[in-house]
Amino acid sequence: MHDGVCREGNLEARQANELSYPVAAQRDPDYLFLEMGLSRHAIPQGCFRHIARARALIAVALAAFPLAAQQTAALAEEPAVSAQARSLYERTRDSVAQIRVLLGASDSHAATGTGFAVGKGLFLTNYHVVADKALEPETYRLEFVLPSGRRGPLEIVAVDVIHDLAVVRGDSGGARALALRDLPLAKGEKGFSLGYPLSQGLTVVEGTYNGRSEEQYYERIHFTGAINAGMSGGPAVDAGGRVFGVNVATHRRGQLVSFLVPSKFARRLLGRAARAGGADFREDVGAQLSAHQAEIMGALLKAKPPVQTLGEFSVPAKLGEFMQCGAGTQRDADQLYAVDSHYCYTYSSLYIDRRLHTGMVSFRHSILRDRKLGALRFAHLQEARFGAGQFGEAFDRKHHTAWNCEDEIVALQGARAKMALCVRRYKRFDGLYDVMLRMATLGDPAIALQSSLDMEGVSYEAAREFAKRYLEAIRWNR
Amino acid sequence: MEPLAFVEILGRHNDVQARHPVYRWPARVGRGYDADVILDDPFVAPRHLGIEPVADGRFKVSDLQTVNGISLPPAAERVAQADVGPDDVVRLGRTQIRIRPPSYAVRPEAQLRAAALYRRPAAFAVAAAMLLILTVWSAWVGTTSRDEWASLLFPSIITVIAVGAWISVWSLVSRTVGGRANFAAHGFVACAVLAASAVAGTLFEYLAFGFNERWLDYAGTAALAALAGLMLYRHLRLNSRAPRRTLGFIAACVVAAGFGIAAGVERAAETRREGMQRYDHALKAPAFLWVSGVTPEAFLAAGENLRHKADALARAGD
Repeated sequence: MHDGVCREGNLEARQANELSYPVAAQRDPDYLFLEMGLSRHAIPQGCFRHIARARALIAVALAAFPLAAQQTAALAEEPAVSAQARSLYERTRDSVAQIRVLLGASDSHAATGTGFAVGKGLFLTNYHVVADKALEPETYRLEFVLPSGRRGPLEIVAVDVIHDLAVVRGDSGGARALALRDLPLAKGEKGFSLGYPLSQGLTVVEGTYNGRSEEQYYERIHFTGAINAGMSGGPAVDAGGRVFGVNVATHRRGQLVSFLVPSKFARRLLGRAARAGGADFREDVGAQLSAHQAEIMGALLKAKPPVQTLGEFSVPAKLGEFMQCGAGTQRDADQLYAVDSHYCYTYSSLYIDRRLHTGMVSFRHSILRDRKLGALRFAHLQEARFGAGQFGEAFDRKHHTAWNCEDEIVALQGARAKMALCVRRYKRFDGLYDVMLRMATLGDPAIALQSSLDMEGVSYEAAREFAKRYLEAIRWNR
Repeated sequence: MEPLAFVEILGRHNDVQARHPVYRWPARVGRGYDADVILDDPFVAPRHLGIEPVADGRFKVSDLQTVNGISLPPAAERVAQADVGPDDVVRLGRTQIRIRPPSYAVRPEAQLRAAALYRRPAAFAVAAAMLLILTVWSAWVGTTSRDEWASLLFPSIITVIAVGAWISVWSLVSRTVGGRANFAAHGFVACAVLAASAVAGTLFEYLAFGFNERWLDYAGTAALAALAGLMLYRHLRLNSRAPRRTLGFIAACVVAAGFGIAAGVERAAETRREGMQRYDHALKAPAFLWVSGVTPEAFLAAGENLRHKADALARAGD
């Protein structure tokens, strides 16, 4: 981890590049997919947006985009197929369809993913595969293609944004429904993931079940296996051919570190799908986002934030196991100042569409110490870091209003501080806001605390209450 | 033989370019070699203008039946003849003349004065040094590591080149229209005003931060605009003898237009910056902060406005 002045906002992005490019150089079929991710993160997100960092870890959009297929020269070598995998492939192949998102009336894919039959005419897939259709039904349409060549239109029945699942309906003919397995596998047990990586045809991938991901807020299975773009929404089955998870994401910085949605959430959604029908999904997605924020903010507001001591300061600390925290320091020999940073975030970012991931709450404290700058240059350093958020980030007018900000000198316990508060509202989802709080202490010409709190997709009341507690917890112990 | 009068050929700014004595009446002005005053202007007839004295140092001028005729600027219409005094200008072809008797009373001798302080090279050198010091200082304030000395050099070189080019252009104009380059004077004007702008800008920045008053930022911008106007005015004054009021008006117009265009560009870029979190990020050393600050509750309560603004934007957007 590192930390730094605003230039290092870019450094973060650069680091992401460094981490990802070697993979591309090895002709990873995930070429475009990585590039998409990078184009998101290459945009300066501000110095302290560790959100960007956290998001860089997980590449949610496993849906393959057609260009990728064209650009990929060679299909990754298939692992040696075990007899077990072969028999599973034979048993399940007729149930696994490629799902295509088509642009309007054309036959051109905007994206592809995978889905599998779960009932008469019903397929299960990822929400992020069908997100375009769910949010912009006028622009997109869906189609399935089974290995037999049977194809047909699909309509969405129900979506679960939080667990990234969707149920779609289409005339699947005699496609046999796969059974869902509710009991978890044992750690180390073999699993088999199926899907259409980059439109290369139905593929089976052997991997290992590794229990629940300890990092993510919502339950995900950590599966060690080569899941690739295009396999999103495909089933992961046990040796008996029962589905224990749904392919959803891979870790961008890892190798074969993949994630599955546990099948119990699929069962839950199917239960809901039985009652659902032709709902307005924008509203539905909005309601789920509201429920998500209520859960996250509820967890944050359950108790007074615990306090940790960082040097001369007391600051809010990790609020519970649902938060991930880390620290970084920057003390280069040539540098005339030192920075220690501590950050925490809920690993709860939700994919809404290609331009919108939301639902994280994060904060970061940086303590700046002067070594040999002197008061003037130290103040300038503070100023540069405090203004870093003004770079802005990828902005989609479709989703957000413009930011409205306010700044003020605020008297805290033990020191004065300059604070800025910025608010913007979601246009499509009622009652949700992004709220950002930033502060920089002004008490000593050689030591300063800069702290930032980012809350995405939250109700204003909850954000305000948490911001209040957050500020109450900050103290300069002198 | 005593001259009876003088015919003066005037330049565009009514400066005398040549002066011809006249020894007989009526005197004739034209392009022909038999004229008393010979002009090289191709739009002047060989015998163009006759001059006769009237009384009290006044003269009667008459058109000797020419194609282009004569006129009395600033009036453009042609006259056959006219009664002109020693300060009246007569136009024939593309030449302007003035006729004065030897008895014309000139102004008393002007007193020699030492060159104004700001015109001296030493003043220019001092102002340039100040500007350079301020440039290096402001670059130095932004450095944070030991190996950034090169970053001080770069802004200094840019400043020297840019200011040098600015001064050179003004000097060239001076040279062209007035015959004198006035390099040191232009240099002083540019360097002194830019240095003053740097000082004023920093001062207002600190004041705006220290009192936490946003209007002081605007006052700072106004001060910078005033200084830019002053600089332009001084440059113009070195180049033109037009009345001060005219020059002041021109400078004010140029500055207003410049700042207006900048504001317009800013506004046009507004939508591009909607994704930015724009707040005042000025932070100075704590010693320069003179307000005690509001309570966190008051700060967060004021944030309610932001929410309402966001709500209004969302409503307007759909």
